[in-house]
Amino acid sequence: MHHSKLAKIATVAAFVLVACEGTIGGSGDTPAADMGPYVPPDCTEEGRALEGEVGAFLQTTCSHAGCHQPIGPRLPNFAAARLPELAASAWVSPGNPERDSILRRLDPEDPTEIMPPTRDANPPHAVEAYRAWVSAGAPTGCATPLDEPAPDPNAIPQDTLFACETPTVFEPSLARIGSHDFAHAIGGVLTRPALRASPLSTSPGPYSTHVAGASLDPATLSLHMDVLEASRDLNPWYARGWSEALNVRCITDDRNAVADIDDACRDEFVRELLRRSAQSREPTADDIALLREFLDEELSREVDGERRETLRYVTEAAFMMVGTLFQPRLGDPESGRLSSDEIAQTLATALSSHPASGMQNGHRPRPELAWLGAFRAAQADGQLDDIENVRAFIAQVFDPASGYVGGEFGADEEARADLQNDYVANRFHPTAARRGRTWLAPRLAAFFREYFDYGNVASLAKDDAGATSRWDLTSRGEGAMAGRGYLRSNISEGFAALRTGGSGDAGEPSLADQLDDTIARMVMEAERSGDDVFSALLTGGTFRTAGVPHGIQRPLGDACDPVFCDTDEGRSVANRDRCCANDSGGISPCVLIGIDEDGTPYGQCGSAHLDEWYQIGRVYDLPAPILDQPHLPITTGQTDTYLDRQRAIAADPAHAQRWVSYPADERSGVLTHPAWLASHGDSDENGPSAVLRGHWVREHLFCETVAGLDLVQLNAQLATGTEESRARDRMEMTFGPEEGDVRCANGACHAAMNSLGLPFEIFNHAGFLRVEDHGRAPDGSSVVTGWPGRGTVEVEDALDLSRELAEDPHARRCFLRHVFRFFTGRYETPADACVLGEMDAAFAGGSLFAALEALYSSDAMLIRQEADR
Amino acid sequence: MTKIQRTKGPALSRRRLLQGGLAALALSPVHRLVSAQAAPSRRFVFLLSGNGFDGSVLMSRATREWIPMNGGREVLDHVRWGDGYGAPRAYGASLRSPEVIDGDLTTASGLANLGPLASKSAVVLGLSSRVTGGGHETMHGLLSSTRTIAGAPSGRTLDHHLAQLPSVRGVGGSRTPIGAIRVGVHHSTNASITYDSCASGPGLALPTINSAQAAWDAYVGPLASADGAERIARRTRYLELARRDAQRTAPSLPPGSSRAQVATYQAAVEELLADQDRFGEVIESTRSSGLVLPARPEGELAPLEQLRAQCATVSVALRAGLTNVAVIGMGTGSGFHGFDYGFGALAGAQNHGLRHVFAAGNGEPTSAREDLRRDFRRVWREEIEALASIASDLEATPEPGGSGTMLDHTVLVYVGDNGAEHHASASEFPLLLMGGGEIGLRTGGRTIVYPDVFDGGAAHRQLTNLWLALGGPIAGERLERFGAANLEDPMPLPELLG
Repeated sequence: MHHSKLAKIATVAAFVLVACEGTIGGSGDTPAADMGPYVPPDCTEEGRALEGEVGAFLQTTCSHAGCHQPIGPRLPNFAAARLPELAASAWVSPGNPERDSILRRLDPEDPTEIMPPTRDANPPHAVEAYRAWVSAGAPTGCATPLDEPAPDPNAIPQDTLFACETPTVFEPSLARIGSHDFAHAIGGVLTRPALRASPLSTSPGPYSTHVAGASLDPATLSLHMDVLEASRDLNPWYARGWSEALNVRCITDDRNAVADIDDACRDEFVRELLRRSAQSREPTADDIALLREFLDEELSREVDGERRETLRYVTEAAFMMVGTLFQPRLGDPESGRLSSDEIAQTLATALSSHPASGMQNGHRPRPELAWLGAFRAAQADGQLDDIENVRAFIAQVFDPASGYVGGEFGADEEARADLQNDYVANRFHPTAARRGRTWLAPRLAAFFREYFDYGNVASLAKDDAGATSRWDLTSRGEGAMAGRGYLRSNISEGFAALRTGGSGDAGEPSLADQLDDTIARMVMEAERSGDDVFSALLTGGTFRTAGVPHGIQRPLGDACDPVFCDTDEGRSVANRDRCCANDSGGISPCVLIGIDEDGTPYGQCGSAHLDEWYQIGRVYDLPAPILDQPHLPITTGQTDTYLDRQRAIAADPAHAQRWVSYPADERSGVLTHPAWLASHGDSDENGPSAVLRGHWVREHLFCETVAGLDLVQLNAQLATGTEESRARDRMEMTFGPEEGDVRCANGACHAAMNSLGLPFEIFNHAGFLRVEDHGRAPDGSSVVTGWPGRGTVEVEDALDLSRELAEDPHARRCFLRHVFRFFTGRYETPADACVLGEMDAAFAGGSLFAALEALYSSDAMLIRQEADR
Repeated sequence: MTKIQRTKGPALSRRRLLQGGLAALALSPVHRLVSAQAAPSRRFVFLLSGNGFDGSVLMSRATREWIPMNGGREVLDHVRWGDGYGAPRAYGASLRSPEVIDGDLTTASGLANLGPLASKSAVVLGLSSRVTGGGHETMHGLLSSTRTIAGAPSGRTLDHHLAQLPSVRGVGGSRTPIGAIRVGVHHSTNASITYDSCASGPGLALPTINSAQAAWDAYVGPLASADGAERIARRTRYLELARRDAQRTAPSLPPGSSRAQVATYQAAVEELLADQDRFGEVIESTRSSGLVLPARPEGELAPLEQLRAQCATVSVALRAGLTNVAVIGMGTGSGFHGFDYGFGALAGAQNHGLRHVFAAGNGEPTSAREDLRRDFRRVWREEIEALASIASDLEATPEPGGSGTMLDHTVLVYVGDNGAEHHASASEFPLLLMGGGEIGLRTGGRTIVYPDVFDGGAAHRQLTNLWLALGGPIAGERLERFGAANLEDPMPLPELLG
């Protein structure tokens, strides 16, 4: 053996003897050996392959978010490029595999000690390769390592992100437009399937705004062209009023021969196309010239009578241009200061995706609906020229009274402004009108929907949605199983209907829309009253509820017994007088209306599907279905209060009676709203909802990554249990001390999620409040472990947890980090500490809008600099 | 006068399936493009069955006899086979090596109509993919051997890997205009494009076109008419404008990410421009080939009709040389939920609820449940037959510039997107392989059973092992790692390599 190699091995081995107590997977400091790695004098092919295999195995297996990353919380760092450092550290025992700390975890005697904890065994070939590499002296320096994995932003200690030392610098950037921007710019609405298919909806980050650095790859570009083609019926130049308003009839009127369209007309058309639609800003001369050339070519190809097609083709070409697909935030080349044009665009993007023109297919320009239009006006007035004026204007924009960030629509208005561009009809739209009165600017609403991650609630399957709630009538009626299939099915179908709402004039806002409205009201009321927005989000108890869609409502008949009259089972045959006998001798559905004070369900005879649709509001525990047609009253068991509500809602679909304030022991904030609970719930009521919900809380309110979810290779399902097993029982069987299998039980994974999710067990998987849980009282108690800054915290249930979170400074700052991520379109770094600090100081007063004002009026945002300046 | 002929519909009758698509015997347009191709063509088609299928539909009589003799439960037609009953402990945990079972595959209920294609098919049982997780769907996990978290893929899928390979897509004059086409069927007509099956990398989902009409417009339309060809020419003009714009803009941007963004865009434009040229050549070649093109699907189609239409589009795309990789999703992701198959016990009800009925209980079946299970088996048989219609077309077409037929150069895979159960544990992914005899896939009408699917002993194998075979030696490339699965053996499956 080479002399220097022997010496190094001896030194490292000696070091290991005193330093091998460190635990892989822990976060303590571990001293490194004081010498470099052994570099073999000759790199053989065999040695190169072995080193490469070991480096790649360690990196792909261990160097993941939340684990052993370059800035990961756990030592050592297993990036392949750091293999020499690792080989020289105390973790590795060159030439002595039986003493090697890493090998002891890769191939442990005790299976619960295994690393990574997401496995029950490591591949034998990989273990043997590592053993061979250690036996050979852990040589490095021959293989070309893999690129280092992207660091996990959650691994950055939170305090360092708010400790301002060096002024934050935002670089000049291009922001690739998203699908909303695109749809609105081309004059469409997002209800149009062709536009909803835009590939610009994807972003490389966790939020739709994460477009910093994003571009278009061939697949995306190809699909973008498909979408342009599929939406060819959109041709705003022929929409009512456009040509006249923009003075381009000289070209849009196909009676004008191509030869008669002069240069001025052509230039004006191109300029307006770019300015009003594609780019929503004053185009550059180069852009005009380039598109003008294309226009000339297309006109030269034109066959008589095809002017519309020609202009549409030119419109499509405009949406292929760099200046259209990427919005510049470049700043002045010398000073770095954003131009007034870029400031207007930046502010508009913060609040909406509507272009300057408010261009809508089939309608006149609606500048009053366009945020950017207002900002352009400010630009034209010179308000965005001077930096101090800019800041004053930004303060005005984020003032809750300004009408930019949110507002209220009155009973005499057609519908909410923020929804207008996404609805085809320009008139009063019932579904839009049934939304809440309070609104947030679309991009703000999008932030909350993406942060709380409830937008997909309609697509998640929920088996037996009402199980264990007061609407689970399994054991009611005659016989233990009476009503089981019939009512369970109806409650589930009603919940499915709630999640999607309805469509067209008959529609009801979807469950996600209802949470949008609930959040908008929480935020705006807190902002106006000076209350704390973060606390309002986590403790607010006034929710916008669901009514039966207008088009579904039908007359109901006589009283009936909904439990007994199970049409599926034919129980009613011998007791027709208690059910809904119809003229043909059969049985019609009995619609469950409510449950009286002694727990007896009551109903009225209805027709097919009413028995399902009338259950649409059950997750809100409404005592009776909400109707808005006074001539169709529910007559069974109703009070004057109910009838007053029905009359009020009939007169005003957005009436305050649609809102319900819950007692503090039932609901508390967004995390107890059915949309959030269902979005983060399993498909079964005693499934692992707690894991999913705890995972969200850990990552979104503690800003900690749960390690290695992408590597889970165990039989990752809860133990089956018995009929009596609650979800928490199944979790105990799976993860508790008595568990039979290795299921990530060594503390690295589920300890971070489970205790944060168990408090939500007072709700079922679909967000219904449980009234019992497999024969026992609902139990949301939990001892939360690993609470940043507090260690162990006992909570009674989700309501208690929400209140604790609302007061928690770490959670509050974590929320602010997500605000930063969404609105800057990237992850935060320690270099952002000054801006984050300013946002934090502004947020201390409780106002989210103030925090956003701090972000958008910061020097970093307004004055761009290259990082190396 | 164009030589293109059109059929009046998807033309996917059983008769046509069995006869091997006589009309397709015309010389493939690929022949005209690749007359002197040095390397063999390698094509791949994946049909992903949303929410999985019952593995018993792939079991031949011989396999059904073998399973109970090797520690498994009896395979019964009226009993589901999935995770809860048969699959986990069925396949001889005591075996130390895979079992190869010969026997007529057409004795399996799902393969009854394969006809002569059966001898170029193989059934694979006992592969797991727990890294993908189970549940209703594994989304991108299936083809990437990673776990999709919160809808975001964790790795590239096999189709994307294959589409990037020169040995699959071709180089120079033999490069296909399109890397891969991804089409599907979704229960919601609003979900015309979804992003839940394929990915180019972590967080980078790729789109699937769920409208049979849109897929036809994109891939068959340009071949079918002058209007379609003009569409390609117009695209070229758009791309040329974008190229000039990017060339002009890039130098004026500050160095760093902004310039890199535009450079990426410019590279995409350049790649598509090259592909447009190739597309034009394919159009010219197709016009003189006599290739029979399916008529554009019209009107509202039932789910299986949509699938057949999508398969017809894929078949043309392969035979015309538009692409060598296709993914067909049949209700993948959440797309299976609302299917109304429109026949028998499945008519008028949502698929999701029916799947529960299918999966519920293993005791004495009610007649209603028996009817439902019978009709679901018909669904899966028809899915297989839709895929087989592509195989049949390819079998009837000599391989351009190579030996055998196009089927011999094409691997077709039928696999459930979550395994074998409505609420699956990802324990087993039964699958059917067809074709590929000339590019290294060994089928021969065999059933290969990998042991110990539940406990994962040393002889247990995973889907990743198959992906390593398809993405490696069968694709003509070296592939040592794929996905994040913890493999017992990181090698391709030798039992499937010729």
